[in-house]
Amino acid sequence: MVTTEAFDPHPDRTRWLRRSAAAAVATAVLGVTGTGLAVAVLAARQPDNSGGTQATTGTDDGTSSSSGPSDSGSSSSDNGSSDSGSGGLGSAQQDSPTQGGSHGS
Amino acid sequence: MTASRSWKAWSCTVRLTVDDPAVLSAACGALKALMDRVDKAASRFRPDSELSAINARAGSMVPVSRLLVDLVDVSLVAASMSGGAVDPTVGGAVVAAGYDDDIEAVRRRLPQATGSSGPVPGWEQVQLNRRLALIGIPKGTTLDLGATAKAWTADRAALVLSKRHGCAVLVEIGGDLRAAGTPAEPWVIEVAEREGDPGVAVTLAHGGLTTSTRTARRWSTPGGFAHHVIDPRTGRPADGPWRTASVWAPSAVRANTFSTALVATGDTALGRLTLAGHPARLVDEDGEVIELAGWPAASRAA
Repeated sequence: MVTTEAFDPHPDRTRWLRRSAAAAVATAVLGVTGTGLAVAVLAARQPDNSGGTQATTGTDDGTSSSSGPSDSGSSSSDNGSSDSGSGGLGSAQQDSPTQGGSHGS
Repeated sequence: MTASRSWKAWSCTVRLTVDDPAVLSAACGALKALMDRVDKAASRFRPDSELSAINARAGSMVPVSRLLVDLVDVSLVAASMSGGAVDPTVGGAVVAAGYDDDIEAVRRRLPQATGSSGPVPGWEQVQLNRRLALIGIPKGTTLDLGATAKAWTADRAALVLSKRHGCAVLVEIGGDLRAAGTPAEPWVIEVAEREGDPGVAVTLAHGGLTTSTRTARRWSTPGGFAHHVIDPRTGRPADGPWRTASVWAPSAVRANTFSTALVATGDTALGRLTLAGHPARLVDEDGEVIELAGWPAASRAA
């Protein structure tokens, strides 16, 4: 009769080690898969808005420090055009009457 | 064809211009209503405002409206964007400089001695819980949203009114101006240090154009004139190289952040402006003008 008992004096410990290793591998696989899915979902939901300041990805689950607040928290800020050059500004014609003013106050 | 109406509010001139005259009255009513809501939420001169409640209860979290959450949020964005040059915790420093009442009341009274609060507490100390609409500041801190509230209101009003009425809108609140919608021709805008001063004309197709200055909102003190633009590093009225800065950016809040930062901290803010690439017009203490990053060179005296 062939047996392995002679070669494995601690069968219980070996079984435990094997099960622990299998559990560790499964946990790692699930973790990597979950992280990948989360990143994919966030990437898909994140709008490509290069004009505003970047929002943090932290969750607002309580009293939080104000560092890095989301620019999109206000519905009115920076949601117009996103160009950063002089796209909205130009030279005025000599005979054009002014329609508005930006005066220091 | 455009139609315009102007009035006085918040110690400055407010002007609303639309390219559909039929909607002007309704649009003016909506703008006034929004400004009234902002005033009730964020005025530091009204004891019944939400901002006054936050300042009075420093050291605890205070429930506030969503409107004030947005206004504080924007002020913190501006602080972050400017590296702390535009800081909402300058309230104590502004009061120490003498600006503790409506500006007309401050100007009318006899010059009073001013103090210095030292460096401001810092915008990082502000606690904002957006989900629960709670705001808290440490004891000894006073919030002042004066640097960003006008620009936020101009942004908000222009975008909402343009969308609601389907026309081009130009909202001007003091030096903060925001254009929304698509005008048949770009708006022609006069840029000046103060209302009534000689200025330059530029065209504005969209976005925000703001002018910050330390020459307009100022008052007498025994030591000379003081003004409302505080350098957060010292807690005193700024004395940097630029007395006036005009900046264009995609929004009025963004433009105002840079124009205020340039007056508040001078060259320190110049690097951030250069990186952002926004056109700017700077006036130094001697009146010399510097135009940056594509500011229209052909602008003429208005």
